[in-house]
Amino acid sequence: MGFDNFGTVSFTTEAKAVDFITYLEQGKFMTTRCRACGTLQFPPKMDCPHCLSSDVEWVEIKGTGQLATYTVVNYGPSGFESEAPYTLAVADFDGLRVFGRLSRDVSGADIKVGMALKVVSLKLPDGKVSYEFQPV
Amino acid sequence: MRGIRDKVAIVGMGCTQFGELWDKSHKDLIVDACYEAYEDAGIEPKDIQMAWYGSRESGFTGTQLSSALKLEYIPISRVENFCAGGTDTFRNACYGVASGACDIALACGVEKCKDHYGGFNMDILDQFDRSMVEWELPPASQFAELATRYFHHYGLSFDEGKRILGQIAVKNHHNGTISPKAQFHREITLEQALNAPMIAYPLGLFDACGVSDGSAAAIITTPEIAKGMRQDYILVKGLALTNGAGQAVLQSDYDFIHIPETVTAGQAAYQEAGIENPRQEIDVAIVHDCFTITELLIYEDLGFSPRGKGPADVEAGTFTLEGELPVNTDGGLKCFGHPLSASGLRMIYEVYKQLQGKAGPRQVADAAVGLTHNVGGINGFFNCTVAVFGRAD
Repeated sequence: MGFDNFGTVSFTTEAKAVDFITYLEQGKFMTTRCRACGTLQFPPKMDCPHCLSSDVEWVEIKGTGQLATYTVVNYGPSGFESEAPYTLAVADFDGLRVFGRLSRDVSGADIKVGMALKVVSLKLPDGKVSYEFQPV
Repeated sequence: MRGIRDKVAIVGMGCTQFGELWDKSHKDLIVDACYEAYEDAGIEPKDIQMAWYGSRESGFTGTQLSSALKLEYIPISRVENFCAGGTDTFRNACYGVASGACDIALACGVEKCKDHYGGFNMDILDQFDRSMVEWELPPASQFAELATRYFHHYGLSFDEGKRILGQIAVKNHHNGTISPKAQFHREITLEQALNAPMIAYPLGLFDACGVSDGSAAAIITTPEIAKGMRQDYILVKGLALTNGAGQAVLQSDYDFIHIPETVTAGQAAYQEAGIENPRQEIDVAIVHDCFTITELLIYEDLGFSPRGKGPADVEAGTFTLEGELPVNTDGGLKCFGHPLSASGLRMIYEVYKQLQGKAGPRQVADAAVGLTHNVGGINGFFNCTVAVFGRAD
């Protein structure tokens, strides 16, 4: 299926990092690590931006991260209008910054910078896949 | 690098009314801005030897400018650099003059944002190194993430942070009331700013700039030629452009409390201009307040305020018209809106008038050194221009 099976709006159908979607469909949230220099990347990159090696491996992002910053989008851009309000977040997983949405189960004053989060894969109602942060 | 300090002079500028200009095409706006600039410089269209045209949404190739102005068979380049496009158009024209390739050049930026997608739309995502998983990136959300982290880092509560940002909006709206070419001319109160609908938490309606159409233009030449044209020509002291490489966007050392592109562009422009203490040496600054948080970060990133002390300077009124370092004397993007490739030249227009002592009720006393700043893009992918100007005397 590939990236056309991803998210509210798919921005592409073809991408080298298509295994990201395959893993999400299996319920796994994976990203890439460069075998040459050991650097982790998110979003997954099949060519290392640090040392330019193309020898990368897939690793699962597990464990607990911390909320680094966030915003609540009240006016969504084209394709996302009906989903607002929703919370966009950046979370820090052991030095790896991951961008995504925060679960709708958390809102208002319950959202705090520094709060503990995990990242989980999602199946959307239309059958597409995505992921979100959930409080631990 | 040798740089171009004191090698290029502005001898004429024009700027249209900014706003919802449904009855004007982008070529109408080009004509209005450029003919004001011709008149100000005392030149004829035939005197223009080379031109640079800034546009993102409003037409491709230099022929947009040549056909609007009937400039026959001279070289015209189209420049696109997102929110910094206007200043970059000016920058390229300056290098044309400084190199000796031409003696008199025109730089014109224009944008019709209201009838091209209503400003930004999803096509904005195509402009960056999209990862396919960096979804949903409207500008307000990007800058909101900076605000959230800034509040957290410096221990500001939501209410404390919002009061600081609100004061920036109140200041710029006040300046807009005495800025005839601005889109908005009404005062707002701090309470209005605080109670406005939330756009992207923690940024509300009055934390965001408007969306408008507009154009601005500059005629530049060498200082030697400028001397024969007018006494109050303005010298380019420093011009810097920096572009992020995406290196910071989601890496753990990206702190979300400053914009590295602004810091590096500021340092480069200060070095070229010979500025050592910007807070003391700069008399007026027109900066890129696309959102109030952006202006707050700029105070610190350009060295107007020490790190973390921007809020205290806001409280002290440092950046008001009567303050120590007036910022956005013309009302800024807050009151002009942000027609992308026109904004930078609109800012230079205000600095030009300020340094000539022609800014009317907005005039900063004895303004001798002025600065303009643009920053556009998304976190990690910003492009930023900083320009420093000085009087000839």
